[in-house]
Amino acid sequence: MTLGILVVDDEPDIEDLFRQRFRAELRRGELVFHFAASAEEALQSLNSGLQPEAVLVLSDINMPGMSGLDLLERLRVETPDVPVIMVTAYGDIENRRRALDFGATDLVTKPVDFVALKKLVHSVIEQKNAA
Amino acid sequence: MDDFTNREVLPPRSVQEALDLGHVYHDQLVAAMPGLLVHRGDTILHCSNTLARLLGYETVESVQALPSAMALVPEDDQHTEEDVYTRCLTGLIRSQVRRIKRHRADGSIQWFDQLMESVDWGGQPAVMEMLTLMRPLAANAELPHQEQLLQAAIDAMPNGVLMLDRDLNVEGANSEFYRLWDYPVGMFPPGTAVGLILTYNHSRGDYGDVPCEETVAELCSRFRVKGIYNSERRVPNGRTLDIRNAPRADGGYVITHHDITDRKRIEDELRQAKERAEAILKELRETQRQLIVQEKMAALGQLTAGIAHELKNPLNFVNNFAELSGELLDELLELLEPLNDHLDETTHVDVNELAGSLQGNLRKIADHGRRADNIVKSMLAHSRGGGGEWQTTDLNGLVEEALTLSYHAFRAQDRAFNATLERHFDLMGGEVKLVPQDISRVLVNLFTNSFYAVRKRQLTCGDTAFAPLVSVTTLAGESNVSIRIRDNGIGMPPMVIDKLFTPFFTTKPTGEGTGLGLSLSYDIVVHQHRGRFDVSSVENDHAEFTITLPRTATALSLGERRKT
Repeated sequence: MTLGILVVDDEPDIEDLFRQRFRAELRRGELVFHFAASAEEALQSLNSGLQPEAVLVLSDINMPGMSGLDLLERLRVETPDVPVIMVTAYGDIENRRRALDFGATDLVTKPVDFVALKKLVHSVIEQKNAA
Repeated sequence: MDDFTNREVLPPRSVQEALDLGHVYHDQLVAAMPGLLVHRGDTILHCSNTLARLLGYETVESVQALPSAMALVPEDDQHTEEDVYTRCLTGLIRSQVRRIKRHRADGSIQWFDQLMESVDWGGQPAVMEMLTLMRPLAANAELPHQEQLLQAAIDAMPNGVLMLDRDLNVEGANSEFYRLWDYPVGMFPPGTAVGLILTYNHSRGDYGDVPCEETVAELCSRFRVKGIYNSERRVPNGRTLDIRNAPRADGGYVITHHDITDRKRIEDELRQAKERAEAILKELRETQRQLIVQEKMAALGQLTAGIAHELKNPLNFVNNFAELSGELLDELLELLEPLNDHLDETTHVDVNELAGSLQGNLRKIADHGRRADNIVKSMLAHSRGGGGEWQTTDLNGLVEEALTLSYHAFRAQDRAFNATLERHFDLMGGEVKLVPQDISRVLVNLFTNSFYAVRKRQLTCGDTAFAPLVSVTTLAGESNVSIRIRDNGIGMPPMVIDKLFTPFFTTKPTGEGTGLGLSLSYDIVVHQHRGRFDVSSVENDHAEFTITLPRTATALSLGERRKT
């Protein structure tokens, strides 16, 4: 089964990075990545229906326009069963607390440790499948 | 000499003249006779006929009908006389000769020479006054009158006046003098040696516990100093006196006493107020300086934090793409593996060399990226300046914890390392108000530096007997505590000490230190805790860092200010 993951970040290079980092999973057809350059775009594409449907959202916090935390708040209301992991440079205690308070599953700091992120993604997906 | 005795007495020339002379003699006789008055409180116990006549009353009864003996005293003397009567009744005055004035029946004033004595009257003390008309004759009256004028004049002075003759005997003193020194009025009559007054002062403890004779002699000698002699003295009743000694032309001395208690008090109050104001001003300036520093630090901190965060995004790509490229290259080489057989030897070597260089470069990019990431992390810690809470903390416990932590952390990286740790904990260290998280960071920093320094010396000195030693001493003071960390490591030259607290300054090889540790420590100790940071070192001998912290820091927490 192919699982969709939506990555929200204003940095265009994030797409190459994720595609290359997860190249094995992508080649095996386990995962499909959707990318959005802003929170607004992310909401739009979620509403228009992504194929395959996103089962996990990875979102930056500091973005022009709507912030990642705002997006998180919206998603908790609109798609409460899709877990959200925040990926940010601002990994201080305050941001982490706010993200978790808003309902984020976890917070990953940049520079991203992909070994850890992969583990996290797998565990989230497994939990979701089990549930 | 008396005019009566010198007068030639002529026989009267007629009856009338004889009568007239008789009256004159009678009057003169009466005038020379003393009158007697005995009283106690408001009661006039006895009045002689003569006194009644001297005062111009018809009968003794009309004198006794007066409300009290005070009725005879003119208003301006009321106070003094009341005082003297009381002293006489209570036995403080046994007998006294004075010149006084009294009201006559018609309201006019009459001067008398008075002998006043305390007598026993019906089993109780009473005041007996024997009053003789002050003789109106010039020769008699002149001198005492001048004395009276003098006495009146000095009594009217606002200062205490004591007059001494050339032999330092009392010639006179005014009431203010008695008041200022708390002497009973009339205690030291004319003729009293001034030494006696001083001895009395000593006996009541004016001079404290000093030998009597020597002190009195020394003070007496001061009166003899020629010229004006000024001094200030505090007398036991709390007054401060300005005493001036002016020698007189005739060899005597006039000593004036000016009560400057109030002036002194005002001066003291003014001085104190001034000192208080200056202290407050100083504190304000200090606070202002601190605030400016804090503002600067806060602004700098925010800027640093902003930059650090922004650097993290590109670093994310640098590190990840470098690592990724390494992996991709490995995969590429794997894919090309079957082609190797088709290459000639030289090309194969070239390809391997290029691939090796490429791998090495990618590893370097990743390493340096991680290094940049560490710097950014330190900068963030620096700019946060600690967000910890102020807590009352056990000093020795905190130091011990930091020492153990740093030692284990250091040994984890370098298993071969061993050092002797010496602890000299002041048991009175007690509790100190500080941000334990931040001070702990400072201590770990200093301990780690010490371990680094002793290890470096051990590895470079070539002396196998060298024993690394790190000692920590806590010292507890009344208002502050200090922590001294000393090591026998490589030490530092003065040039290094000068730059020690400069951000990004480090002596460690590139990549090993960020150069922010001591700069951050300095911030925490000096700006956050209002403490002091002292350093001393001799190269290849020792280094010593001393942190002094106030027991209760009133500083604003930098962390709190920066949390915005």
